[in-house]
Amino acid sequence: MKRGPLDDDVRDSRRKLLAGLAASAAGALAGCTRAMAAQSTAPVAATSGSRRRWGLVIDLDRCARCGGCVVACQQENNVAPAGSDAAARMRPIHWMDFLPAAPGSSSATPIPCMHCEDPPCVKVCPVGATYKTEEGITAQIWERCIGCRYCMVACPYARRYFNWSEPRWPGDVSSLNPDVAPRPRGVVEKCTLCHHRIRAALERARVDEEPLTDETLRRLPACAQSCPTLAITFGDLADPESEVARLAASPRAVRLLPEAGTRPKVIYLRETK
Amino acid sequence: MSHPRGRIVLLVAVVASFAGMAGARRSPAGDTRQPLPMSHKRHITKDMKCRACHQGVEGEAMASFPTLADCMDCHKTPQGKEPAEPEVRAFVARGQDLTWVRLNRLAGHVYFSHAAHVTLASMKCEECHRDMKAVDQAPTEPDIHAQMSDCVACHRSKHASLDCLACHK
Repeated sequence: MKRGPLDDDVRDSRRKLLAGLAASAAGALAGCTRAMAAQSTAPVAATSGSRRRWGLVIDLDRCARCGGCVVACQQENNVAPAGSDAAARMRPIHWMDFLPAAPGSSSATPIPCMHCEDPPCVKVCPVGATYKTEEGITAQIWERCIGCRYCMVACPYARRYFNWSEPRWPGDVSSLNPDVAPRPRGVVEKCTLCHHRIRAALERARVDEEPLTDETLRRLPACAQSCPTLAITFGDLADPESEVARLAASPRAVRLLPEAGTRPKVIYLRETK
Repeated sequence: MSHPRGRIVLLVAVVASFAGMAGARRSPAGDTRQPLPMSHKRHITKDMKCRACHQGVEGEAMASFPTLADCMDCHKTPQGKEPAEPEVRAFVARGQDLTWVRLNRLAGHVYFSHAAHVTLASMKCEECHRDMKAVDQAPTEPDIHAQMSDCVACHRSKHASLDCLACHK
C-alpha cells in the first residue's frame, strides 16, 4: 500500500494505534484505503422491532482536520487527558481520534466508534457489559465491565480504550460533566454517540409534547456540535426524511472495512479518486 | 493534583464545618442538619402539593428545593402561630442563603429523571418516597433505599424501558 509523507499528528496516531492494539487490527485498519475504495452504500437494514437507527455522517471533503471534535468529545464525556506517563506508554484515550485510514496519502480521518449493526465487540464480551441498544448504539455499562479487553481485540476499528490508570483531570471534579459517569481504572470505555444528549432530547420532546425534529438532532453529539465546517451530521438513518439518511445515500458515501461485515452506522463522504 | 475523592472528602468536611458555624440546627432524629425546622405535615394541604415547592418535579430531572424567594411567596406575612415560622423571615433579614441538605443521592452512574416518572409515567410521589404528610420535621435521613432490582421490577411491571442506557450513564 502506498503512503506519502504524513504529518506529525498522523504519525503519532499511528504509533499509538500500532502499539496499543493487536497487529491484526492495525493491519486491517491500514487496509482501509482499499476497503473504502470498494464502496458499500447499501442502507443499514433496520432490525425487526427497532424504531430508530442513530448514525453519523462525516464528510471528509468538508473536514478541515482541525481536531475540534476530538477536544469537544473529550470535554463532554469526561475523558481524562493523558498525562505524560500515559502518553509515553502510548495509552491516551480518545473516543474520537484522527487515524490515517482515509484514501489519499496524507489524509487523517476522524474516527469515532462505528456503532456497527453487527458489532464484533458485543459478541465477545463475557459479562454483557457491552450490548447494542434498540436504537442501534453500541453501548457499554462501565460498572459491569471486568476489564478483560476482549472487545478491544475484537473491534476491527480499534475504537475501544482501556483505563490503565485512575483518571485525573485538571482542575477539580466540579468541572466534569455530571451527565456522563467517569470511568475508573480497569474498565474499557468507548464512544456512546453522546447517548446522554439523545436521552435528554427525547425526554425533553416528550415532556414538552413537541416532536423531535431532524434539525434538533443534526448537531446533537458534541463532535457534530463543535465541527466548524459542519462536516459531522447526526440523525436517524431509518428515517428517509432525515439529513443523515439523505447523505448516506449519496454516491460519495463509503464505510470503513465493509468486508468485515460489521455494517457501520458511521458513514464517510468523499469524492472518489 | 490530589486525588478527586480526597478533594470531595475535604470539601464535605469544609462545608459541614461552615454549616455548623452558620447556626444550622442538629435534628434530634439524625446527624444531618437542615437550615429550617420545616414541617412537611404542616405544608401539605389540599391546595399545596409537592410540586408547589419542588418545582422541577414535573419538567426536569431534578425535583429541586425551594429557594428563599419561593418561601417568601407565602411567608412574607405570618401564616400561623408556629414559634419557628418567623425564622424564615430572619433568613431574609440576615441576608443569608437557604441551603437545604440533599439527602437522597443517586449513584454516580445512574440517571434518574423526575419528569420522566412524574409527567410521562404519571407516577405519584408516594410510589417511591415515604408519605411526607406524616413528617413533622425537616427530613434528616434519605427515604429511598432502592436497589437496581427495585427499579427493574417496576420497569418490568409497567412495561417501561429495560434498556441499560435508559438509566445508566
